Amino acid sequence: MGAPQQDIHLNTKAKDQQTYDAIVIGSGISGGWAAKELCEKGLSTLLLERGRNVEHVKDYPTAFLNPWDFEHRLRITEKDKAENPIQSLAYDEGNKLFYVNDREHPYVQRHGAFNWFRGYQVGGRSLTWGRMCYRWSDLDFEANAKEGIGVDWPIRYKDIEPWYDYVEDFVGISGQPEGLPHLPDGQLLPPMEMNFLEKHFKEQVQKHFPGRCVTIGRVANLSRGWKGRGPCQYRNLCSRGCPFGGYFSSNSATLPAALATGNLTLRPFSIVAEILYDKDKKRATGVRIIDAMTHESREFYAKVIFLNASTIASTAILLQSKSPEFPDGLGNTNGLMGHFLMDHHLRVGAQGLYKGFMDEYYSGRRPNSLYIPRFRNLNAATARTDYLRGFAYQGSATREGWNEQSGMLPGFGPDFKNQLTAPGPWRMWMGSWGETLPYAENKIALSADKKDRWGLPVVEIDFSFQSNEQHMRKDSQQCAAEMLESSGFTDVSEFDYHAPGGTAVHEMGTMRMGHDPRTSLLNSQNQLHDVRNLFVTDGSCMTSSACQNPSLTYMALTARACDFAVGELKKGNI
Amino acid sequence: MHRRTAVKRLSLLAGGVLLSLGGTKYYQLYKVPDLSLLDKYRALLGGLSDTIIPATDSPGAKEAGVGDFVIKMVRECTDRKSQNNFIAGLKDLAGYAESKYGKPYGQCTPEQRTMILAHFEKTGKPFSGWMGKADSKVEGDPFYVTLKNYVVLGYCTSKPGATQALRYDFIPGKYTGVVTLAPGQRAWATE
Repeated sequence: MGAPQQDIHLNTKAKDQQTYDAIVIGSGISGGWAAKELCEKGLSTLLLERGRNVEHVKDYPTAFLNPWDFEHRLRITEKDKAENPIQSLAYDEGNKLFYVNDREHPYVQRHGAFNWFRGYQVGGRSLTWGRMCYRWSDLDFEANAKEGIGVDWPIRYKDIEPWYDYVEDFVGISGQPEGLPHLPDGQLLPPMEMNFLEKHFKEQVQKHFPGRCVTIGRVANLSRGWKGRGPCQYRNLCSRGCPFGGYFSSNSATLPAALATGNLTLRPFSIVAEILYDKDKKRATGVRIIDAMTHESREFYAKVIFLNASTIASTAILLQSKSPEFPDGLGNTNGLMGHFLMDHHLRVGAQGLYKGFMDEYYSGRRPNSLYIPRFRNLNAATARTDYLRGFAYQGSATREGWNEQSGMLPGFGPDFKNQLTAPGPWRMWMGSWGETLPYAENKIALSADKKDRWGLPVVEIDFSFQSNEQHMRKDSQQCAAEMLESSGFTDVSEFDYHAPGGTAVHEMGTMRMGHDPRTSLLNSQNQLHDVRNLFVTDGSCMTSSACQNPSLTYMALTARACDFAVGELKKGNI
Repeated sequence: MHRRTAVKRLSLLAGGVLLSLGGTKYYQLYKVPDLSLLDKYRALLGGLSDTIIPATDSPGAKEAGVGDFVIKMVRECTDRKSQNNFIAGLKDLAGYAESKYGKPYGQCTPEQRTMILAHFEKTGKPFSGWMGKADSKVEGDPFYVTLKNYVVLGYCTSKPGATQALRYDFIPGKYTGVVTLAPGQRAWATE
C-alpha cells in the first residue's frame, strides 16, 4: 500500500484545529456527499478516513497499465487466496490496491457465511463500485407497511424525489428513460448503446413478454463531459480509478468540490474509536480517534456529526460508544442496533449461445450491462404466491473471446491459434439482483474477546438468506432461461451459485429508519432518535432493501439530511 | 438428472474416491512439489508453448516469452495438486519424447512434436466440462490442461499476442454497439 502519510491536513489553515462545525466519519460514496454538502453550506468540516489518502489521478498507479504489465496478467496468486480469502474473491491484480487485507482487518462469520468486502482509503468503495444507479419508488417505500414486514419507512418517494434530482445532476448518470412508475426516470445523460444481439434480445422479449422491459443500464459513467469530468473512454478499467474522471467517485467528484470551498479538512489514517456524548446536553460532542499509524488517541469536537463509515462499520462505531447512559452502544436503547442486516441475493440466472449474426461485432469496452427492471409483484396481475417483492436482471451479450474459447477449443497449432484469435460465437448471460427481507437474526455484534491491532473489538456477523429469497431465486432462474429460449438462444443453461451474503456488496440495515424510537434507530431525517445532532446516512439506515442498487439512494438521503441538519443548526435546534 | 444433483452426487463419490486413493497417489498429489525442477524444463516449456501457438502471420508463443510465464504461473498461481501433476507431466513428456524418438523434445521435428503433444492431449483430459471440474477438485488440474490454459493466457495477454494476433485498443474513446465484421478481423484482446 501507499507510503505512510501521517496527520495529513489538506486544508493547511485548519492545521491542528480540534473543533469544527461538523465531523464526517468515512469518505466513501455517502461520506463524500456529506462532506461536499456541509462544506458548501459553509460549515468547517473535518472528514475522517481510517485508511490512506488516495488522490484523484495521482494515486491510480495501475490505471494505465496494459495486461502484459502485470506480473500475473491480472490473475490472483495462491498467496492472495491464503492471505486474503475474502477480498481476493473480488479483486484482481489491477485493483487489489483498493481492497483491505483480511489479516489486518479480521471479522468473524458466526452463523452463515458473509463476504465483507472493504476498501479502507480515501474514497472507500466509491473507487471500485459497480456504478449502477436506480431510483426507488413507492412500491419499495410502502412495501413493509403493506405487507407487515419489519417497520414502515418514515419517508415516501415524494420526500426523496427532489434529492434524487439534486444528486443525479451532480453525479452524471447515463441511461434511457423508460417511463416505468416503479423505476422512475431521472436526470439522465445519453444512454450507452446496445450491441446487435442485445437489440435483438430486447425486441424478442418485448414481443414474447409484454411488461418486461430490456433497457441499457443506468450507470454513473459519463456518456459526455460533465462538470469538468469525463467523458468515459470505454476502457472498462473503472475499478483501478479513472484518470479521465469517467465515472463518479468521492475522489473524482465530491471531495474536489468539498476541498474547493476551503472548508474541508481531510484526515486519513483516523480510526474512529467512539463518539463522545454529553449526557446533560444529550448531544454528541465529538469523536475519539486512534491514529492508524501511531496508535495515539486524539479527540475532535463538532456541533454536528455525520456517520458514513459504511453499513457494518458505522454500527460497530456506535456499539463501541458505550456510556452509563448508553451501556449497549450510543442510541441503542431498544436493543435493535445491529439487527436486520440485508444484502441483495445474486449469482442466479441463465446463459445461452446464439447461433448467427456472425458478421456482427462491436468496438470499445462498454462499462455497463443491460438492465431488466423488476416485473414481479408490481400489481395484482404480476402477483406471486410463492414470494414477496422482486428482482431485476443485469446481463450482456458478447462474442466469446480467447478467454472463453480457450477451454472449449480442442487441439493446438496454427488452426487452433486462428480460431482462438477470431471472434467466437455470441453468448449472453443474465443474473438477477433480488430483494432480501429484513430478518432480526441477520445481524452484527461486537466480539466479546477478539480485538484488532488497534485494540478495537472485531465485528461478528450472522447472516443467511431464507425461504422468500430461495423461492425468488427459482423464479428468477426460470424467467431468465425462458427469455433466452424465446429469443432464439440455444444451449441455455440455468445457474445458481448460492453466493453468500455480502457478495452483492450492498450491505444495508443494522440501524433502520422508522417513525417509532421503540422499533427503529433513526428518524425520517436520518437523525439518531436519541442523539439529535448525530446523523447516519450510509446503508445502515435502510429499512428494506428493494432490488435496486442502493448507492444512489444513500447519496440522495445524505444530501437531504445535510440540508435538514444545517437548517436545524441555524434554528438552534441541534 | 439435474446438473446440480449430478454434481452433488459426483462430489460425494469423489470424496469416497479421495479416501480410497492409494497412499502413493495421495502422496504424489499432496507432497511439497520441487518447483526448482521447473527451471530445468524452461527450454522444453518454450518449445511446447510454440507447438501450441506457433508463429504464423503473427509471432508465436515462444517469441512472446510464454514459456517463462508458464513457470511463473505454475509457481505462484497454481494449487499444490496441480503443481505436482504439472511437474510429473513434464517429466513424462520429456521421457516419452526420448523413448519414442530417441531424442529430447527440443530436437524433435515439428511433426514429431505435434505427435507428442497430441498424445498428451488425448491422455490429458483436455476438456473442462462439469465432469472435468469435479475431477479437478479432487485430483488437481491435469498437466495438459494447466499447460494449455497458461500458454493461451500468457500469449493472449502478451504484447505480441494482444497487439498482433488479436486487436488491442488501449483507449477506445467510444463504444459502438453495431459494427460489421471485416473479413479476417481478429477478436478484441480485452473485454
